[in-house]
Amino acid sequence: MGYDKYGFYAWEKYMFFGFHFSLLNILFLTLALAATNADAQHVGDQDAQIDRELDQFIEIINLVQEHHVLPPTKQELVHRCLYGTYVALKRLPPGDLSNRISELTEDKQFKKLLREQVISDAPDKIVPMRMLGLMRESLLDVIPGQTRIIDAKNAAVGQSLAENRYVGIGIQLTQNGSLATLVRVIPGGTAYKAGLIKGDKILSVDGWQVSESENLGELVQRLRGPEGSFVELVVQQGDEPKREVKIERAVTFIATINGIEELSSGEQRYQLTSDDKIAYLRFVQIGPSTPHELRKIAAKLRGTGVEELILDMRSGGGLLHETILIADQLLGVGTIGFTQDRNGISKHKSKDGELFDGILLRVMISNQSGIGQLLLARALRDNRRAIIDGEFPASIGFVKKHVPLSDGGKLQLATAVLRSKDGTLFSNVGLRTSFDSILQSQHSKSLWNSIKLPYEVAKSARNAKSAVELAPEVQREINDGMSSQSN
Amino acid sequence: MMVCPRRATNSGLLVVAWLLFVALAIEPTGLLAVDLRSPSAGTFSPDGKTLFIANRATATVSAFDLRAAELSEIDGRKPSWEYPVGTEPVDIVAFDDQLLVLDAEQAQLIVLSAGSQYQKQQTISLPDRPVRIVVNPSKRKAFVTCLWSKQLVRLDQGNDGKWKQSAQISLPFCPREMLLLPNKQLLVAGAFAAKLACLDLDAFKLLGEHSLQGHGIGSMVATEEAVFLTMQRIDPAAHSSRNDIHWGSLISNQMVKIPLSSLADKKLSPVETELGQPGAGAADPSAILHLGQKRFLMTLSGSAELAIVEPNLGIVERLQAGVGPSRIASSDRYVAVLDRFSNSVLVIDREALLNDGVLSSDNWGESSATLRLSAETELTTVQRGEQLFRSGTLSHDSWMSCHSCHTDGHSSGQQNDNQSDGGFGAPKRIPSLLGVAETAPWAWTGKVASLEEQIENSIASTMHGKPLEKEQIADLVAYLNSLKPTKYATVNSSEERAGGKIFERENCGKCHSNGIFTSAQTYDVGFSDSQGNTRFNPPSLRGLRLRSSYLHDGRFQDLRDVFLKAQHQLSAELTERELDQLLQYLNSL
Repeated sequence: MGYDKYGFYAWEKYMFFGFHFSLLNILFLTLALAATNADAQHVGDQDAQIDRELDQFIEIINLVQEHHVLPPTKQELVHRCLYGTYVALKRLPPGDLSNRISELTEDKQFKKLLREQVISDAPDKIVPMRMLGLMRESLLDVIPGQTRIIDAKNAAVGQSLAENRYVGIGIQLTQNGSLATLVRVIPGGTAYKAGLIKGDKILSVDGWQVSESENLGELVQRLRGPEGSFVELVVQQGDEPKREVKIERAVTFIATINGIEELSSGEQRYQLTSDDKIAYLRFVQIGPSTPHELRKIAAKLRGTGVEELILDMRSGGGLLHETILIADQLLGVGTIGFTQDRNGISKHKSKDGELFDGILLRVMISNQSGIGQLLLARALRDNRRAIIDGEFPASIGFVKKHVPLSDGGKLQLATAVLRSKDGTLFSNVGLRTSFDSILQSQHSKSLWNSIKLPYEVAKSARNAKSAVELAPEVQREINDGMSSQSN
Repeated sequence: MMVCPRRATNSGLLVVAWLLFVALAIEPTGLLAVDLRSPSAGTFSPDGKTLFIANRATATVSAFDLRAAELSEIDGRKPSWEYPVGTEPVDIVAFDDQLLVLDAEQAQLIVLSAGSQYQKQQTISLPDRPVRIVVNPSKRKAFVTCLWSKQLVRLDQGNDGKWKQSAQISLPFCPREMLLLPNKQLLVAGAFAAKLACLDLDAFKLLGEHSLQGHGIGSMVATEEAVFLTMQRIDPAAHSSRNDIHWGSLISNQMVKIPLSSLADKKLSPVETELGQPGAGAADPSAILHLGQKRFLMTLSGSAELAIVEPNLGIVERLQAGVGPSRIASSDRYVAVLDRFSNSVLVIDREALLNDGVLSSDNWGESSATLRLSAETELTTVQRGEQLFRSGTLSHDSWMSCHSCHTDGHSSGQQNDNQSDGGFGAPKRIPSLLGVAETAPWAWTGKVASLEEQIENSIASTMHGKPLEKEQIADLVAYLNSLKPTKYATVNSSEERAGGKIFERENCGKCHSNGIFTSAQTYDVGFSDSQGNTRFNPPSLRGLRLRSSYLHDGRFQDLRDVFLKAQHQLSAELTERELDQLLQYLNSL
C-alpha cells in the first residue's frame, strides 16, 4: 500500500504565526461567502434534507469501517455519537438506547434509529436541524484523529492553495472600521508588480465603490476571478493622490518557508546574526513547493559562512509525501520512519546527500507543531542530525487521507499511523528539552530574543481587532482544504 | 540562427534548389543532398581555420573553411568537401595534420591524414561501440571509451604518425565522456548512472571510482579549481505527479561542480546548480563550455535551448536554438553548436558570449553565423520518432524527455515512481528500450498490450505532457522499433556453455524464453511490491550485463545476489562453480 495515497497531516492548530495566518484571510472570506450561499440553498424540503444528511451519516460510518486505521465498530460509533449529542444538550439519552444500538446490523436499521433521534414528538423536542447538526459534530468527534467533512467547493480552493497554485492578485486585506486596507502585498504577485503597497486603501473595484461599512467578503469576491482576467482598482495611500491600476489575476506563489523577516525588496532575510553564522527558517507549512524552496535557500546560503541553521517548526503542518522529501533532503543515508495502515507497513528511507552538509541543525517544535513537522523533527533527531528544542507532544501521529463522498465532498479520515525510526508508535515520545538549551549554547541571549520576536508579533496580530474575524467552523474547513492533494 | 527543419521542409522548391547547389559542392559521395547529416561531433583544425564535422546519419565528414574577417562572411557557407567515413562516425578529433574519427557501429578508429586532400591512412579495431576520443597532444596518446564493452583503450602515435593500441582497462560501468585534467589524470564518466573513474595517465591505472546521485552526464569541463559537468537526477522517492514535476522534485536538470581537490578524496563534495526552474524546465543538459570566470555555455538538448549558466545562480540567459542542440566544438575564436536533427551548424563569436545579455540581445545575429551541411531536409519516420523521443516538449514545462530516463534508448539505471503499477509508493527500475519492440506486453505488470498505449500512458501519467497526434505516436513507435538489442558478448567458453545448460536445467526459459528471453505472461516469483502487485512481466535478459540493478525494484546491484540471496526460481542451491557458470552465460546475452 503506498503512503502517497494518504492525504496529509491535518493542521491541528495551524497558522499560528502572523504573516501566514493573515495571508489566508482572502480565502477564508471567500469561503465564508460560499458557506452563506449554501445555507440559502438548504432552505427547502426539510424531510429530504434530513434524509440526505442521514444517508451521509451512514456513508461516513461505512467509510470509517473501510478506511480508518483504528476503526470503532458501527455500533460503537453510533452509540458514542448519540451519547455525545445528548451530553451536548445537557440531557440523558433514552434508557434503552445502548441495548437497541447493540442489536443493529443493517444500514437501514441504523438510519431508522438515527431518524427517530432527529424527529421526535416529545414535548421537549429539539429542532430537527439543530439535532442533526449536533449529531454530525458529535460523529466527527468520536472518530479518532480529527475527522472532517470538506465540501466540494472548499476542497478545490484549498487544493489550489495547498499546491501553491492560488490564483489572485496577491494581497492581504483588513478592515478596521474604515476602508479596506492592504496589510501585505505578496512579493512577486501581480499587485506587487503593479505597485500596490502596504497601507493602500481600496476605493473601488471595477467601478464598484467600496464603502466603509461594506462587507469585506463582497470586496474579496469581486477581487477574485479566473487566471488571466483583470481587475481595475482605485487605491489611495494616506492623503496622496488616488491611483488607478489594472491588475491581472495570476498564479501567486506563496512561500512556505520564511526567514526572520521580509525585506522591503520582498526577499527574505535568513541570517539571524550580524556575523551571518546563524540562519533561521520558519516552516509555515510543508507542501509541494517546499522542497524547491529549500533547495533555493540552500543555494543562497552557500558560501555565506553559515554554521548553524534553525528550523522553526513550532506551528504549521504539511503533507506526508513532501515531508518525507524534506527529510530526505536534510538527511544522509538513514531511516526517516514508517507509516502503517491496515494493509501493512511502509518504510521511508533517506538517500545519500544532505542539503546543508556540515551545518549544525536545530529544530524548534512546540505543542502547536503539526504531525508532519514532528515526524521531520523526530527523524532528524533519531538520525543524530539535529538538536531539538521543544517538547514532543503525547499524541498519536495520524496520517489522513481524503476519501471521496458521494455528494462530491471529501471525508478526511485517519488511514494510517506513524512509527518512528526505531519502530515505536509515534506517540508519547516524551523527549524533554527546552528553549533554554539555546541560551546555554555558544550563542547569546539576544539570539533567543530575536527568534521570539515573530512569534510574539504573530500572537498579538492574531488577537488584534484588525485581523479579519472568522467563524471557527469556516476556519476549520479551510484547514481541511489545505491538507488536500491531487495527483 | 539555426533553422528548424519542420519549417524548411515546407518548400519543395527550396529543396530542389539546394539539391542542385549542394550536389556541386560535394564531390565523391553520391549522397542525396537532402539527407539529414545528424552531426554528431565537431573539431577545429589546430590553426582554427577549418571546422570538421562528423555526420552520423550519412557516415561522412564535412569540412568548412572558416577563413574570414567577419562572421557574417561565413554565414550560409557550404562545406568545402564532404567524404564518406565508416558507417557511424560519432566522434572526431583533429590532431596535427590528422583527423581521428570513431566509427561506433564498426567499432574502429579511422585515421584520415591531410595531403592534397584528406585520405584514409589507417583503421584500428576497437572493443564494442567506441563513443568518445580525447588526445593528449604533448604525449601523443589518445584515449577511447567503448560503451558496451566497458573498456577504456589507450593508443600511442609512433614516429611514423601511425597509431597503435597500447593498453586497455576494464571499467566498472559503461563509459562515455572523458576529461583530461591538469594533474596528469583522466576523468571518465558513466554514460548512464553518474559514475566517475579517475585514472593516472602515466601509469594508466585506475585511481578511484566515485558515484554521484544522478545520471546522464552530458559532458565535463575543467577550470583551474574544479570540474563542472551536466547531469540529471531522478528522485525515486518523488512521484511522477504534476506537483513533483512542476517543483523540480521528481527530476532536476543540473550543473554539478566537483572541486579538483576532492577527486582524490574518498567522498566527492559535489555542489549542484539547478538549471530547471518551476515553469521552465531544462531537459537534458548536454554540452558544456567554460567561457571564462563564472560563465558557462550549455546546450539543453531536450528543451532545445542554448543557455548561459553561472554556478549557484543557474541559468542567467537562455535562447531557443534549433531542435536538438547536443554538442559544442570550440576554438579560440569560435564556438560551434551541433544539432542532431538539423543540417545547420551554428557558429558563434566566442568573445561575444562573454557579454551579459548576449543571448537575448538584438545584435545576436551579428555574433553568429550558420553553416549549411546540406539543405534542411524532411526527416524519416524513425528520425522524427527520435526527435520526439529526445524532446522536452512531451513533458510538463520541458522538465524531461523520454531520453532523460531511457538514456539513448537504454536505461539511465535509475528508479522512478509512476502510476504504471497502479499507484505511487513502489518505485520501479527504468527498463532499457533496446529491443523493446519484441517484448510485448509492456510495463512491469504486463498490462499494456501495445507500444502505442504504453507511449500514451508514459506521456500522460509519467511526463504530464499534452497528448500527441496519432502520427507522432506512430513515429515514436517506429523509433522504438529501430532500437535493437546490443550484440551478444559470447566468448563461447566451456564455462559459458555449462552455464547455458544450467539455464536449461532450471527451466529459466519457461519465462525468459529463447530469442528475446522473455514471454508474454506475467508470473508470481515471490517478489511482491508495496502496491500489492505480485505478478510481474519478466524482463528480457538481452543485454543483462549492461544493467546496474536487478528485479522490478532494483533491490540487488549484483546479479549474483538474485540467485545467492533470493534463490530466484532455483530447484536447488547452486554450487559456487555452477553459479559462476550461470552468470557467465547470462552475461553473454
